[in-house]
Amino acid sequence: MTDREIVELFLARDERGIREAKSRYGKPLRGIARNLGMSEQDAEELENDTYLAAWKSIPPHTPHAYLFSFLAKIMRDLSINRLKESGRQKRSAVWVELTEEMEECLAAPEESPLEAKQLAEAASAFLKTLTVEQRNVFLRRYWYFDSPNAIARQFGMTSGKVRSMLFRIRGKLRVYLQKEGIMS
Amino acid sequence: MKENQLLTALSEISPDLLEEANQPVRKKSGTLWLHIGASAAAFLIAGAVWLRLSPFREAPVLPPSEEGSSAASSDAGTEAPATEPDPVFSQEEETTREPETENPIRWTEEPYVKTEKPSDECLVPLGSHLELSESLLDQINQAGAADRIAFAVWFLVDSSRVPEEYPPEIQQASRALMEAENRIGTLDNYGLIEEWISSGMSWPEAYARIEQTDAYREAQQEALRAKEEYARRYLRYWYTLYAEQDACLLSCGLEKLYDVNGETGLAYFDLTGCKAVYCGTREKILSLEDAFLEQSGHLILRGVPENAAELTFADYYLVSDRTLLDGEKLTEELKAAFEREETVLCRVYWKNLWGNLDTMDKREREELAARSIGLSGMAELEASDDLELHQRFLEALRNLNSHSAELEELAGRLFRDGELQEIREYSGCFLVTLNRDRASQVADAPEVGFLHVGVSEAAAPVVAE
Repeated sequence: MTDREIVELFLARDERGIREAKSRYGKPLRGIARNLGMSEQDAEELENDTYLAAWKSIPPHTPHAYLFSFLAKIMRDLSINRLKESGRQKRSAVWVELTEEMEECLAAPEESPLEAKQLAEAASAFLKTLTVEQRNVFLRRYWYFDSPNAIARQFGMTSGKVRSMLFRIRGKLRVYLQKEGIMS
Repeated sequence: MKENQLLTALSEISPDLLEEANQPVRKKSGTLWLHIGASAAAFLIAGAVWLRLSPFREAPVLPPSEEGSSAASSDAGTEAPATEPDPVFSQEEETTREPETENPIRWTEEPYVKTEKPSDECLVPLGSHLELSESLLDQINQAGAADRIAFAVWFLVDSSRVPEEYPPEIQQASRALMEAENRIGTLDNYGLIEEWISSGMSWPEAYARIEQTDAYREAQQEALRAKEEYARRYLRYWYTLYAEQDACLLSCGLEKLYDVNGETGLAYFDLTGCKAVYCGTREKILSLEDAFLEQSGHLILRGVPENAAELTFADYYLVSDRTLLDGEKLTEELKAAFEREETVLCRVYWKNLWGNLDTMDKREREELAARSIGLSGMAELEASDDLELHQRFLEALRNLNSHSAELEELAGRLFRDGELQEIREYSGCFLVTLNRDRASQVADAPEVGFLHVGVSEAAAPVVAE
């Protein structure tokens, strides 16, 4: 079943849409939570929460062309929120590592927090300046939370090359954010 | 609770970017084709120039025969009859092999039998396994053997992807390598680390701890062995298939980073002199180097860039050699080597160049370029989008070498279609072909941060990498 057909089931309030989505995207969605160090049980709970949230969001949303991204975004947000709520952030090695890496680009603000939308727009614009490979490696790391080793296997690189590439991209992103006036 | 806003805000980025990142790897997008294509084209051109500049072009070096390999170890560069090409590693086996307990890889396999001189007829057609545009494939397949080999080895070895038409031994070695690397990945997936952190350990400690576990060490060692085996079989195949004239190209295209056990090792694929192929952890490399230097008279010197953190994969191996040699000793040894030998072929890595051009101001760049222009025979410039700087290097090439017409053509080709921009994707060094006088200049230059130097007799020049 195609994404479009699955979304149509959601729009028609047909619960087969959830089953189809689960069948098609359950594993990669759970992978996002697992990448953050969550248990399989937590991942499954979050996956179900994701389908519920999608059920409530479609309509008005109609992600015909990007269903997985739509679901993955929900899953990502829920996973991060779960980390926050449980206080597990402090114990999540992955989260700590990711946070420290991204702080090379944008340190924690001393005063008021920045607008998420503004940051996201800047990040999107920056990512479009990268090569496809660079962009995908970056997103696999910081959006899907894949480990460098996993990315290396996926992209046919050494993990060293992945880390090096990420380091350089973070450096570019830092410069980009400075130019955009988002960070001083 | 520590949280990075940017990391969180990424949830809001454009969904089309996410869809793209979720596609199977190496999606055949036009952008990627252009990316790979431009890199490949630049590499081919650089390879062609290398051949033109290389002394091996006129005097191709053949491997020593297997029977004579032992004797040749003390007689570096002795040519073997063209009809008896030796397995690539026979010399290395004699000169640098460590005790078996430390180096479980044996060097006893028979070579592939195909040894005829390279020709277009015997080349494996490129294309079926490479995601490249048709025009680029046409260009590659119309190129000479050396260029095609250089490209293919660069592309294939680096990505650990083996064409189906390759011998089963290579396929098997590739699979073993992937399995070994996957095993490391499985152990390094934070599950155990998370458990330790839950019990109060800091995450750096946990990460370090897992690297000390027997399972992890074993996996790393297995991966290293698998990579050695893979590289060995791969190179043996390439070398015996395309012996003779392409050896020098292979030698400059086949450095391969090993990132194992927290240390970084480098395989030295010195097919030109048919002397050394070795790899491994830092200790292993250093011990091998000692033996290599002592027994062969060849010199390999390495240093470390100051900005190690910004190195690309092509540079990483230098990091492992922080304590190897200081600049003064390096220079002394280099000079001594020059006294003994006639031909010097070396790679010169300039301090402050790697990864730093982005942060250098215009004056610094120009100064760097000016210094380099006087020394470079061939330049592959890394880490700069500064076309003007590239242009200056290429101008220098044109002025430096007697093959000025060819180099002029090269410069024009490199600049067309932005090909030069892509060199940075795979290379981070200047390649320098020097005669003895110029090499001495390099040795005296205080700004030289690190040298990779191979010295040998004129009949069998060696690339020390």
